[in-house]
Amino acid sequence: MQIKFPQQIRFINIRRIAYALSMSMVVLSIAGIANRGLNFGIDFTGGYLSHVQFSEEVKIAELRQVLESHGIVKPSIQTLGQDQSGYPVIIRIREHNIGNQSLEENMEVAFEELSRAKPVIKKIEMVGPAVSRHLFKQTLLAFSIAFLVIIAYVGWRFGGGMWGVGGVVALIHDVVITLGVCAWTGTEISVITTAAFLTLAGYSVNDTIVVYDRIRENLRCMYKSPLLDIYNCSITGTLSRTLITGVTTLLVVIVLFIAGGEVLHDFAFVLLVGIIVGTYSSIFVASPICYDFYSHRKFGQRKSHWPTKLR
Amino acid sequence: MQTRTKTSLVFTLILVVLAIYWLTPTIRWISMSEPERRQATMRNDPMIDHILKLGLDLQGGSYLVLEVKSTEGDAVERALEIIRNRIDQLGVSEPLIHREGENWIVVQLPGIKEPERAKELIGKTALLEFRLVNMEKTIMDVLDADGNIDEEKIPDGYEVLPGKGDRRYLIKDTSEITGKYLKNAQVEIGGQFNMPYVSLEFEKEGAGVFEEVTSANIGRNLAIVLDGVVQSAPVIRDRIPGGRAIIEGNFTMEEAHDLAIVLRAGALPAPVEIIQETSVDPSLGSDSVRLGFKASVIGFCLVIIFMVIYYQLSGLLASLALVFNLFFVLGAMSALHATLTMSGIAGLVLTVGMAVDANVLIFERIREELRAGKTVRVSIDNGYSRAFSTILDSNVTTLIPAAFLFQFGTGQIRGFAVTLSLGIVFSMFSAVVITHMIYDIALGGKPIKKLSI
Repeated sequence: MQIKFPQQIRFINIRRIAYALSMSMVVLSIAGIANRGLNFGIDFTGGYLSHVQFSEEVKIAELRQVLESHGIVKPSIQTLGQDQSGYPVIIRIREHNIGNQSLEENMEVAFEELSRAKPVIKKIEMVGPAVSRHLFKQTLLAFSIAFLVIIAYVGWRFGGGMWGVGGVVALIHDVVITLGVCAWTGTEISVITTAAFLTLAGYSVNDTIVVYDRIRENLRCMYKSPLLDIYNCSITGTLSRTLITGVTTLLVVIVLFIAGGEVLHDFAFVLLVGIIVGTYSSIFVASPICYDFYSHRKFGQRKSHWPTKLR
Repeated sequence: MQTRTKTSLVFTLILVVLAIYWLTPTIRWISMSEPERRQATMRNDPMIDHILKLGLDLQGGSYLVLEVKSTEGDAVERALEIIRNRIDQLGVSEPLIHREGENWIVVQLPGIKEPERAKELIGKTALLEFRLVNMEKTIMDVLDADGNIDEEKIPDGYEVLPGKGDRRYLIKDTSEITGKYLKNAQVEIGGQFNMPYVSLEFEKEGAGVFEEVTSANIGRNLAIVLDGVVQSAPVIRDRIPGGRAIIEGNFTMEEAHDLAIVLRAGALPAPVEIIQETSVDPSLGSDSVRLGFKASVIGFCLVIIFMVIYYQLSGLLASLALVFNLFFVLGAMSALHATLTMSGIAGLVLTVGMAVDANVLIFERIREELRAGKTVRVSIDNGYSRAFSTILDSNVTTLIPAAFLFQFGTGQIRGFAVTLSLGIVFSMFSAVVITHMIYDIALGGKPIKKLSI
């Protein structure tokens, strides 16, 4: 099977529309982050999470009322429907005012009131303030350094200039929009979703590099053609690869999203959004930026590879 | 056969043999029945060390981070030793205990079913003191009209400590003898109500002190205080030589047992606090394994189906490369003693989706060459050589984040970084070298008109 593309699709010609779309997405995302904030998980805020299995259905309102009567402040309760062993519920707590007793002891006392539904604690996650601060710092550090290294790599690989800038703009574009989607949907940002963000950063750069490689190759082979055609041909030439890799990666990410369970749900969601945005940006953002720059100026790092007349 | 093909074949065979070697214990373990596994564990079969280990999230267990509330001298090191002692006596298989940062201790207890009990055992300071009870005044004498403690009424050198239940005691603020002098502590059953109690034995110096204290205070109550809580306060009836004492206090068998453990292991030099915990019930862990396995198989199958539909026989070849890839990754994980976690499974699944990228790049190039009218053989060779630098790039850009995740990440993320990096590295080999070799072998010297791609 093959998807037949024409020799060139005029992607570059509609770049202004793409810019407008991207700009508005970025603005919307920043608005979302500013407005709603990011929903940081207990890894970063500190708190308590427990995965409790009930043998019969317990109403969220009842559970909340029981927990609150034991001094637990604003528990966030998420029911996971029914599975073969009962009714699993996830309870997240950020703060509590219990005094002497530990939160867990108090939870146990609270659960005694619900003994008819035989609560079984399947999983406990507790992160103290010192640890959450440490994790936040550590993650931020890893994230920023990895980012800088990726940027440096792109810069080195393409000999600096606008190529590096284009790749980095596309990368930031992808990460900001994905963060924005997370803000609007309330997706939890935890240590594990951060891993998804870094993976997405790698994916985004990778996608851009494939298109750039082709553009640079075509600058050599098609040096008689107008720059516009070279860009369009290159994007079109790599289009099937861009789409197919996007599809295979999306396939597994969708599987993780649907069947990967609670732990991987948000992780897969970030990648899902990120891969779609990343695929879009490698076509509509990264290359057009380079085109705009190089078509206006006689500026190139490897002069011999450049046509004498740019248009 | 060309030299290149021969070299590839040799490398492939070496890798396959190594992977089989490293995975054999795991495969044997999976095919063993429950009693066989227990037997193997009992006789400390060396294969156990080489099984691909599952993370705490998949096999159940507890991950605890403790903060030692003191950094003076070697307090943290001593605390670590004592905690190690206690855990050894708890009988957890393969616990991992190590220091992290200035005053944190990380404890990993795979497979334990009662995290509460382990936490109790690890977190207890276990400072045992024997202190004299004030005989002139009772607790009633230091209460004000409302029944609260009136600090001013407490005699000098005394303090009020809680006991079991609602009881409070007025006792001396210095101890006569502490748990430091203990030689042994053991659970025994007996006494009036046939209840478990803990019998203590002091070493020589301690025994002498204990004899002195008891002989000087006959008729007084001597409180046994554990971590600031009075366990009991029996009357000293007679001088006690030989350094023996008992702690009673309505213990269950388990409580008495754990108390004996902490007393034997010694008191922590400073209190510790559990500042992070992840405890997963083994049943939830095995649910996750099933879930992860299912997701991997479905993801794998979908990618194979897609590749075969899109690239036909060549797609099948790419799928074969994927199988090799997974095989190598798991083999390498066994060899490196890496643990497989849920996020590791995610990395594995993601690798499947991303590893085909190399083949997609190559196949698309081959198609272009074919379209340009080149022969099958030239197209294949050009496809591989022209796609290579792009493949290298794409792998480096994925490896950079993975390396940083590994370096800075916590356990959860490391699992992901390991499988993703290994997947990327091996995909370079399986997707490029192995598939090229198979093309070469399959096409042989024959002139080929058409390629199934």
